[in-house]
Amino acid sequence: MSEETITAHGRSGYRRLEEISGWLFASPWILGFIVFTAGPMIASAYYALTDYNIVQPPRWVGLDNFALAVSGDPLVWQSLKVTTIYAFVSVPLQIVFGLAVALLLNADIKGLQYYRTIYFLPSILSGVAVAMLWRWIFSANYGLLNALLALVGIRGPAWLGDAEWALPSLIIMSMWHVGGGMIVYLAGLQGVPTELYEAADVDGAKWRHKLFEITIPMITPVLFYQLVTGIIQSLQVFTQALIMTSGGPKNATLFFMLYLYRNAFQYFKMGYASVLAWILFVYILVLTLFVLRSSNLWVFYTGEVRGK
Amino acid sequence: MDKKHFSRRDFVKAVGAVSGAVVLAACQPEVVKETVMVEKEVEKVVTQVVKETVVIEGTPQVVEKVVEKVVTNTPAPKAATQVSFMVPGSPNEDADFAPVFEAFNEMYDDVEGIYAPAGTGYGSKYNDKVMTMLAGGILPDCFKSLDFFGSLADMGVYVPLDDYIAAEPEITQFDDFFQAHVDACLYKGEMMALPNDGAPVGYWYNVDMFEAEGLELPDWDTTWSEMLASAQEMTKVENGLTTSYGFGRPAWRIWVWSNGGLEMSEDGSKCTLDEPEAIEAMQWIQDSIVEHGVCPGPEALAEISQGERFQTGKLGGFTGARGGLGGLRGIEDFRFDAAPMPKSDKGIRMTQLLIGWTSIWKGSKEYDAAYKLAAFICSQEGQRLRISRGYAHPSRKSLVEEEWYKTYQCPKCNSFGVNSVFPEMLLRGEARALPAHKDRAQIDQVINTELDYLWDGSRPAEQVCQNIATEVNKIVSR
Amino acid sequence: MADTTSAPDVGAALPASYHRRLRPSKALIHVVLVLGGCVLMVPLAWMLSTSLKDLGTVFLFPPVWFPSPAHWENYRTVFEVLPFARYIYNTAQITLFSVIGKVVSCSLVAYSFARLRWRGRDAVFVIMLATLMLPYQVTMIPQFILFRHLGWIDTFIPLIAPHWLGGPFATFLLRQFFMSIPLDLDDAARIDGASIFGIYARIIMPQAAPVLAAVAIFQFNGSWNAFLLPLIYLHSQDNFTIALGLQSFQDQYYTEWHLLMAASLTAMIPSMVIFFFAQKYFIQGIVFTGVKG
Repeated sequence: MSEETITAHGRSGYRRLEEISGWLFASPWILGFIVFTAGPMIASAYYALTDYNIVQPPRWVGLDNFALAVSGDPLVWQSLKVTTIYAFVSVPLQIVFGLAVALLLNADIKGLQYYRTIYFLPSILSGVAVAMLWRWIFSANYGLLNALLALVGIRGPAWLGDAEWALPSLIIMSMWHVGGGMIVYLAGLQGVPTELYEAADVDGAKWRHKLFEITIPMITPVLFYQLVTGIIQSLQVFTQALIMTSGGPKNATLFFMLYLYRNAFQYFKMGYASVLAWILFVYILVLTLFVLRSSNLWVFYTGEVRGK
Repeated sequence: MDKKHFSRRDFVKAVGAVSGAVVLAACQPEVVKETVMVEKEVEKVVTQVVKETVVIEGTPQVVEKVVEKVVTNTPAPKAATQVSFMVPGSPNEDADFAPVFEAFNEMYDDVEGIYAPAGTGYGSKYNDKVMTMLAGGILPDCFKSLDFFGSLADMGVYVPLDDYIAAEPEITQFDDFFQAHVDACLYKGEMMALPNDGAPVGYWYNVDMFEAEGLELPDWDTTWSEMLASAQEMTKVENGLTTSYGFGRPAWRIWVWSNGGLEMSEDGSKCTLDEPEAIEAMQWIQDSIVEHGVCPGPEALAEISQGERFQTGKLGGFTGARGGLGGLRGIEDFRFDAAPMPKSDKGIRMTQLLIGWTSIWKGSKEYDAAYKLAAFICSQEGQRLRISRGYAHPSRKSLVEEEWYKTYQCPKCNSFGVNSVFPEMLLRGEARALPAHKDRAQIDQVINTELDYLWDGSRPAEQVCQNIATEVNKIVSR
Repeated sequence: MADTTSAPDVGAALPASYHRRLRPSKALIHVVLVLGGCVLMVPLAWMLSTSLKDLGTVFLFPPVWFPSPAHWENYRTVFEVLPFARYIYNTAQITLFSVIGKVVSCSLVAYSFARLRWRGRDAVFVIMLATLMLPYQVTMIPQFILFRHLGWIDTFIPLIAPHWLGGPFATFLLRQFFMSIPLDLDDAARIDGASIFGIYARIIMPQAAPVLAAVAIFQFNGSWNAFLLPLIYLHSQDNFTIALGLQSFQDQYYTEWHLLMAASLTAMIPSMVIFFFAQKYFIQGIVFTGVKG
């Protein structure tokens, strides 16, 4: 702390400065939240207690929507099940693959820029084109996947056309987007101090040790980010189901968000959709808080400043 | 000194981040209040509120200034009433509508029609956009509806058109519309839209495949049994893999109707899919997939749709709208044509009419002008100008008689079946549109989910139909 | 002297057998990357191939990889049938302002969460995360109504302004990164008389170059490919963006696959170029690792 600051304001003065600065620096988000986000969120909570078809004014129904969702609608449970399976399988897979790819793309080899660009490209391909491609890959009789499996003598399933394999197909499809995670890991990997590796080399450490005892601990802040955002995003996935399978076959890929979307925009039941939204909100919040709490045990920040 | 340093720069930075957005707002051309239209030349003092960014003590701030201006109004020609019309929009559609709007604007001095594509393409995105605009209260005056017609009609989104139709017979020419098209625009007995265009679903077939097996080409007398028999000849299986199929999955509604059944009661209050005629029709389809293997099952359809499969030349025929010609016109390797929908073994043919609806939004401020636009778009001239590519089918009896429509040809079409079959079905009264229903989307979703069990053979038609009826009745009774 | 990456290369002091053991691992990495890269490039190859076909030959089974003749004019047709150049211009404007706003505002907010102590900080952080958890479909319409009252419909403001007011994902990422920067540097700077803002500007931000680049790249792609907000907020064709243009190739009767692929590939080029050249921020060693001793 600067001598001048202390003498001018005293330690408590600096603390007050910090307090005000904290709010000030965070004010862009806080302002945006108050103006653009809080209102709509409160509105949607209100809609959840109404029968609202968007066109006509909402009609109060109290907890009827909630009761229906919880006890009278089997599709709610089906879609929660589908979404949960998807999230719990694809998030760990994406984290592991994303990190693996990033480590490979962080190696000291020639042509790194080109490799990285190639691995990054899939994450920016447009939705319709991607859907076409995957339809071909998953095609039962002419597709790439089954052709590869046939090479090792396995007769592949119908993938998207088969109620048992449709969800696994979508999970496989989600691996396509590891390019996005790769960028985050790369950024994180750059932040690992090189002296740590140098010191390890002097001790004669193998790559395994370096990976698990230096790299991974040092990037736990980034891993934490990937885990939390992975949870939040994977529980809200629905575009692929909308385009590729329409939630089928037999509701095998009826993601919660897809069901919500249908209720909101196709069945004109915005009130019911709002209740579903808040149910999902609570679900995600509980999971996230759990992960946040646990983070004290496994996330290591070099420069952590514990707050008030 | 520390504190001052911090406060000034920090303040600036923080405010800068916030004013970034506000400055952007200020950069927008200010919304000028309506200039007053007056007949005479007058000098008028008009006050406007203008947003300006000024720098005060090194900080950009946005202030509102009230500015007084002296405005001289010269008599201006009376401003034309503007009405806009929205469609999903695509390069082809934009090109199709351009001459229509040109002609309309020439025709009317006091009304200006504006073409407002939504930029969504055809699909669920158009629905999303319409819904959001409805919620925000800013729809265009006229717009095209897709399959949410019944729901929006029920919610009072459309202006009932019966009075306008009666008041403007010349621009409407109501009797020239096909009866089936008119019926499709009714909701609870009121006309809620004018029929844009629309064709019945016909049966497209691969001429070369039929001739290769020495089969009779489909015609007005073909029945289901004959259709099945031909299909069996055309289906080829190699090493357990079906390399060509007889026909694609028939549109199940058409099958139910042709067998004398209905999927919903006339008034839309009850599902009648569990009645014997409907079950029989569904069973026929299931048999063609599972027992006879002449029709692709869900696996095969998941990898390539029937329209696309037809283009590869490995599908004997499929039920498709005339608009499918758009995708088929590029076919080069084989000859194809359109035939009437095959009759059921009971001798009934009832195919489905797919139509486009042009409606007026209840919240529009200019009903009269909007009606002029809607009527013109659906008029003889309007449709004639629009249907230049030949895929759309006019909703007017007079237009199908015109030379340009009758002689439309594409490279590999075998004959003019493409041009005669569809209007003929309409004239014979063998085409019917799906009645508008407020819960259409939800009903269809429930039906399609349960039908997955029919297509793969895991449940017999009777069970599937009964499950559907139970579920749908739950929906409509809520 | 020592390499900064995972494969140590400590020079000739080590026995030759050590080097022999290491070379293959680099080659192995190349092999794996090339194999994976080939798999990933297949879809792109299909897109390129389709963009050169005419509509009738798009759906042949098995697919034709090298259409002849190759219709390169499809790329020109895209610009003729739609005001695609205008769409690109619009999208570029939106993207530029969004990226700048994002980097500036999110870094400020993240600094507050990472380095400053204030009452309620952790609660506000959780609230910020919580805003991500409510599905957008139910807040979309109230927000639309809000923007309508502000008169911002059919302008770019709703697409740009939110990015000047923070953004939970980017702020979260930046916070994580800022919390990994050692405090020694901060302390040293403070001893030299730096203010709170000064530490942000002179210590934290330079250290955070890689993650700032990541945020910029994400926001670039987010804005460039954004579909939903342009869909509901832009009404005049003059204001449409690339994503809307791509969507319009889905006609009523069929989809113009060849033009759609040509347009999609054209739209991808800026993202690729920016990513390629942003790589210089992703090289280890650019970041100072701390004060020794």
